[in-house]
Amino acid sequence: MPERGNIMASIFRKLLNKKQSNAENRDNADIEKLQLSGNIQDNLNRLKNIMSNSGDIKTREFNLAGSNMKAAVIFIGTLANEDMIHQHIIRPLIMESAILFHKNQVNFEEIKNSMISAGNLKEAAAFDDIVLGIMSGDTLLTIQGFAKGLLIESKEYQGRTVGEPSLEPSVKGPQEAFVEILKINIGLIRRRFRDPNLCIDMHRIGRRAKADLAIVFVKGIVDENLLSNIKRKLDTIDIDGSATTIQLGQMMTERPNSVLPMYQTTERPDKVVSAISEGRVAILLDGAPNTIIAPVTLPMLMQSPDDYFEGWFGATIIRLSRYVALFISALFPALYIAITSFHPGMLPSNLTLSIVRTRSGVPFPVIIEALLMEFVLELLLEAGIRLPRVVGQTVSIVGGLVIGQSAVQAGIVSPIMVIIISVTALSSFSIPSYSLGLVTRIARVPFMILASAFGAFGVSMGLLISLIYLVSLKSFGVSYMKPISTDHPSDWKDSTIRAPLWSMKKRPQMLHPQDIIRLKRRNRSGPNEN
Amino acid sequence: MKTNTDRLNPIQAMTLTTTSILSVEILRSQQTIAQIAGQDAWISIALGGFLSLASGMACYLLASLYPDKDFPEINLDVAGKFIGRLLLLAFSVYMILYVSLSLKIFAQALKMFLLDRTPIQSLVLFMAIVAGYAVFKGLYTIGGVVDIIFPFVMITIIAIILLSIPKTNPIYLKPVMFDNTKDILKGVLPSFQNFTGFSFILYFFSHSDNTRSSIFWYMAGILIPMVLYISLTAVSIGVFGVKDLLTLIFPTLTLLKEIEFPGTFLERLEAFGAVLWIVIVFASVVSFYYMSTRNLVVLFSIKSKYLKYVVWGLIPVFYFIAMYQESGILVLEYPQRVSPLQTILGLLVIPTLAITAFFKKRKGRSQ
Repeated sequence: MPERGNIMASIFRKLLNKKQSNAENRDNADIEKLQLSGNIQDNLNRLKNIMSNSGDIKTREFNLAGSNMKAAVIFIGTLANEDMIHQHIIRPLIMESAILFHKNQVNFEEIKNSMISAGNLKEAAAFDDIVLGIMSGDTLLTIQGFAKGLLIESKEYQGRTVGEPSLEPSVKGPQEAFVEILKINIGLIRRRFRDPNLCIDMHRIGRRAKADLAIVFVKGIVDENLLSNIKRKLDTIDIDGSATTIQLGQMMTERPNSVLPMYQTTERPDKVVSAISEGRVAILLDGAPNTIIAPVTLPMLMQSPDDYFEGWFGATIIRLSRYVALFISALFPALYIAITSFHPGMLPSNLTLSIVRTRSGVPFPVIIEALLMEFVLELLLEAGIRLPRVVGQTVSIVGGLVIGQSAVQAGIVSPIMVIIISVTALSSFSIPSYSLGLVTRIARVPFMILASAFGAFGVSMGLLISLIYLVSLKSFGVSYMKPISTDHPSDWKDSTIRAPLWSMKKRPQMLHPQDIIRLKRRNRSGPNEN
Repeated sequence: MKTNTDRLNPIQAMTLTTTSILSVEILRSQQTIAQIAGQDAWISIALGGFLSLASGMACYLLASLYPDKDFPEINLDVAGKFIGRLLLLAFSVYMILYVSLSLKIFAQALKMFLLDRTPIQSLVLFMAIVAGYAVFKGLYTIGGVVDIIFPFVMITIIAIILLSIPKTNPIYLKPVMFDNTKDILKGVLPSFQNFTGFSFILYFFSHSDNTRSSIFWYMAGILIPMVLYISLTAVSIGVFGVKDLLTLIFPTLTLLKEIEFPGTFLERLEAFGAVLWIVIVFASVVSFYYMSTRNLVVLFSIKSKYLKYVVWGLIPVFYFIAMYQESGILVLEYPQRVSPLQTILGLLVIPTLAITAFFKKRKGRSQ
């Protein structure tokens, strides 16, 4: 059967590809074969036609200095820096180059080398190159009599400036976050990592959108297998419009349906820098303020930048408490259900009595009570995100007073259940990764159902199922639970605990870095004491 | 992407062996052996442990002679197609019975201590399905899971032993070996049966990156449960005395009940301990489940793409064998009926195979 399935799949894929490439051909048929001609009017008209005669296409025709040679520039006013075009392209061509020649003819090389003061330019003749360049904010200079033009870089994107990270705040760490402009983002990384081996591999994604995408890694550290794996996956992505970072990540992973995040997203440049210096790969997309880091493992999602700005002892305690929070967030209501309905004897008798007393007026079984409160909590969270900030306070009043106090007074839920659900909610937000916190919220309900059916046995079976699932998951070839295994004991130093930085002499070996040694000399008394 | 990460590491020879040896027997092996050897039961267990170390050496030798094959394939290679298949059939029967009995005893204990109203069928079935899920995911996943549960299992058992020590009365352990040698020796073979899991190496050796240290990790994997069994037995005898111990059905769980944790939040510690012990049984069931699957696959020359049907198909088999036996206290005696098979396979068949293979290889090399 599988063979037959494969054949069917490949036939289907071929048909699909054919269909896609047909559509593409139709769109680009005229562009691909076309070349610039010597007639500037002709060129301008064609380009305008291809670009649908949009209103923001700007052209300017002029005579080259002191001659009657005609030239023209064409660019998109909303993308290009007009000041720059006037100062460094049009002005030198009309005025300043007059000193250079008093002859009637000038060759293309002379114009290119001595008459334009703009920084980056390249010769171009094919229309598809030229259109892509103009669409990215570059300017085309076309000159009468030459069947080629000059594509001059003049991009200027409007966007916000570098601000503070909003999703991943830090107490002592740097307060810079990525913005939507790829160039600025790459700059933020380069500034922190001045190794010439830092490699920025540029790609384009989206048949129509053609968004810029950068694969960032450190040559000499990164595992070549991982890199080629990622590049291969990027190449197979065939998307029409623009992709968001998250879509991109989901299209790249081997387990797109996994509930757990198979790649890490971050808005912090310092996180990206430490990731690539460990041997991981970052993918930056133009227009997206977050970055994909791959591969990822569960302990990586539990790390916070603040772990590295504290002493190792404090950082370890905080990190361990986060793991406790992870368990509470997924299991606390389930354990409560298991203990109250199956094993009341596990608790001290006083506590059991007080639970029974508070529950005496509640009309529902524990599981219904818990599911009800869980649902209300999810509603509160969702409403808190959606509500405009001006009325945001309403949620806290409604949530705190009405749901908490009044529901208990009305006898619909027991006060202990309110405490349990509140602690659970708190815990789910102390998990540094939002996606992982979301997973614990999802996992809570199956655990509650297992607990109400099988008690503590159900909870432990649920834990075992999750463990098997987690261990079998792989993110870009790296097992999801990786540092917590016997494979590379030196990786334990930065897993559930955080060992002193001087002791982390090796890069994480689960990532198979080419250069394993991170810290050469044992330097306990240096500034890296922590 | 197939990388070298898909292989087990040498340390996992220890974790996998230990967790597959620590089985449902940990609940009541003290009682079984004390019945035979009295207050010297721990000596019997020590001797049984040494016997399993020797047999384990034979396993290791056999596995290392064929580093690319696992036991069922080695078996066919060494013993020939016909005898090999007969032996494999015996191993398969034994292992399937072992899994079913473990499930049954486990469910029985669970019903007694945690879930008195839940039907035993659902407990057996649920555990079998989860174990099947682990086997379905493969050896590498089993290794990873065991890596994570190993420290918890160790901490629990060591804590039980240490917390019981203040309650032990050394008088119960005396006289040591006084006019009791015969009974001690009688207890050796039943003790040896507690260590069945050591043969797991024959199945995972060909999937590991083996170094010179592998043998030490593997020996540690047998020594750790041996020390745990010995101290657990000694402590149980010290706390209850042989007379009382013989009346207990699951002495380890009763031992948990005896422990008074200073300033405790949880009053009934045994319920809590039982939860962690679910994990212990689970790990050993999974390893035997895996071995049964491999045996059947080679025995009937099943193609690897149909492996999943074997894995899931075994669940009803385990379920019906477990349910076929009547519930109640009698089920606890069944393991002793299967045990001669284990003794023959472990002490006779595997060493013979190892020696045959050794000479076969040497002959092949000299030619």
